[in-house]
Amino acid sequence: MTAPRRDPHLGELASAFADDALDLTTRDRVLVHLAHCAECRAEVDGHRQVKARLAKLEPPSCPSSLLDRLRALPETTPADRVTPALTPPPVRLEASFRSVAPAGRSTGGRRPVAAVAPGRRRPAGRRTAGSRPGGRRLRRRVVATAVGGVAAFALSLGTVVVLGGEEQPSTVNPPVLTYIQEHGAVTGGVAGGDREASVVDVADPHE
Amino acid sequence: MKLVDPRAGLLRAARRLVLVMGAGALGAVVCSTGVYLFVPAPVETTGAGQSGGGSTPRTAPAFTSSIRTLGASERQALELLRRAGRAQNQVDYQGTKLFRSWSRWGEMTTTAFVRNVPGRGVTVIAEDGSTRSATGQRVPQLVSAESHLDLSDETLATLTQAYRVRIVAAERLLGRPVTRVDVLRLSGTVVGRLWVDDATGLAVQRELLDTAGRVIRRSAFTGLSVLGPAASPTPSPSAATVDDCAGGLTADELAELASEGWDLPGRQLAGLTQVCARTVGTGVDRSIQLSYSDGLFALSLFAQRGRLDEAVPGGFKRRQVGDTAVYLRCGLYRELSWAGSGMVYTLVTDAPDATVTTVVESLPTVAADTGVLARMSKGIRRVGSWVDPFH
Repeated sequence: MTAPRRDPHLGELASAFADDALDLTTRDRVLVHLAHCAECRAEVDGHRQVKARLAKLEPPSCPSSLLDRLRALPETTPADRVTPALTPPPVRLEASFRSVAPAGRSTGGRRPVAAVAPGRRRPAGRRTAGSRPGGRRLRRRVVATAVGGVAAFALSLGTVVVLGGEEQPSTVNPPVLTYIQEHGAVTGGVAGGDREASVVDVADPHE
Repeated sequence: MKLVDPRAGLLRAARRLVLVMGAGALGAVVCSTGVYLFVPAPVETTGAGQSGGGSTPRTAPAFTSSIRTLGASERQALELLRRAGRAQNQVDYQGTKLFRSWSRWGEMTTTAFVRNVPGRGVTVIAEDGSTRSATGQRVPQLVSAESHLDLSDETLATLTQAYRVRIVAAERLLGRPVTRVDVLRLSGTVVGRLWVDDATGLAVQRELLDTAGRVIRRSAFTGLSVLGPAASPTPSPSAATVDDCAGGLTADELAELASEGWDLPGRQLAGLTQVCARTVGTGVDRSIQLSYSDGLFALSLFAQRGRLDEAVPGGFKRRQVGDTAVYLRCGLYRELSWAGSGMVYTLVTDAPDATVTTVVESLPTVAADTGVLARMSKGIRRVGSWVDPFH
């Protein structure tokens, strides 16, 4: 069951359109929308006027210390995560522009702009996919898992190799006198043998 | 400020640890299975001079039948040797006896008073006056019974396969008429001499020689009193046994020992044939005795599992035989102990030095493979044996 289709407005896509930051498909759809929506046309004109005026302004001077501090700020801050969106997303844009994405982003992405949660919403085109905090965290997890896996693997193999080492054999002290007797008992019948010799040898005082 | 539940962090860390360790262990199991399946059990490399075919299945000790046809004179000489073997069990005698032994490592000369009572045994009173029975124990009187000192047909068959025997001459020793019998190599050089008393059949003197013709062993009565005549009719020589190889090990038992890691030579060692394989001692003192003979010389090799005690036994010295360090004692026998590949060998023999060197250089027959794959394979099998109740 689907809700009745209503005509959404462009919302922040108006700004992206004015910045010429939309891909061709989205741009065509926006143009179709602008053809019959005076409200959005006005918004786009407004964006263009602001942009033109801003372009004419002299760049503000910025203290280098401030620039350094800004550069030192982490890309993702806790405040960034918890700050609520100041401008709620256009409610119905999601239905009509589900596949809409700013230029440079894959339209097949799993998180189109309109589907971003309010608390995580960012202006389109600000960040590339590789610099997203979620991607970075994922990459970090993958790397940590891989390193841990390799370490566990090496540990297991090391254990096996150590276990495969030679067992420390027990020390033995051959009972030579007994051996001489046993030799004489077994081989005394050999022509060159002499049973008495094995007894005499054992009786050697050097034993 | 956002509060974080520490237990949640711990749980997350534990989950990650399990995941990581599981992945690693899985990898190790896969690799181990691969090694187990595709890497053969630790390969032992054959050492130089392997003489016995240590890894080949062994057969029950047996003498090889002679294929040489004996002449009448040789059969007569063999009969004299057989008689000398029987005399010990039949003649009541006492006397003093000289024993000498020479080798490149040293020599020994000793005398002893010998008293033999047929059926009861021989007692030796050594130079220091201590009395010993044939078992080597200090005892005040005769306690041991001697038997099986006959020269069987099998022993003589082995003898005549490697040597020729001949009656050389009639001589006199200790004022008694004796017959000298020489044992010769097939090449014609003398390797042994026996002087057999004509009246009793006792061998009153024996000599063994090496390949250079040097006497390496001599035992001779310096005084002999025959106290009683030869006993009653002698048993058939063929019915007697050459040795007392009681509790001999079968071929299957030897194969089982080999599978357990006992590195033992096969049926041939330094040109001598195995005549007995048996167990001596029990538990940690368990030894395997392998005796070899060519009918004239004899050697016994005793093998134990373990490593040789670094303390040199009394009467022994450290020597180098070939490339092997041994503990050596030159008594009336050459007595050597050495170790290798988790085995300790002790050799007792009257064979020439060259034979001793050959034996020492041929054992152990294998060298442990210390490669990583071999160690892995051994380790995996060891772990497998922990979980395999039938291993």
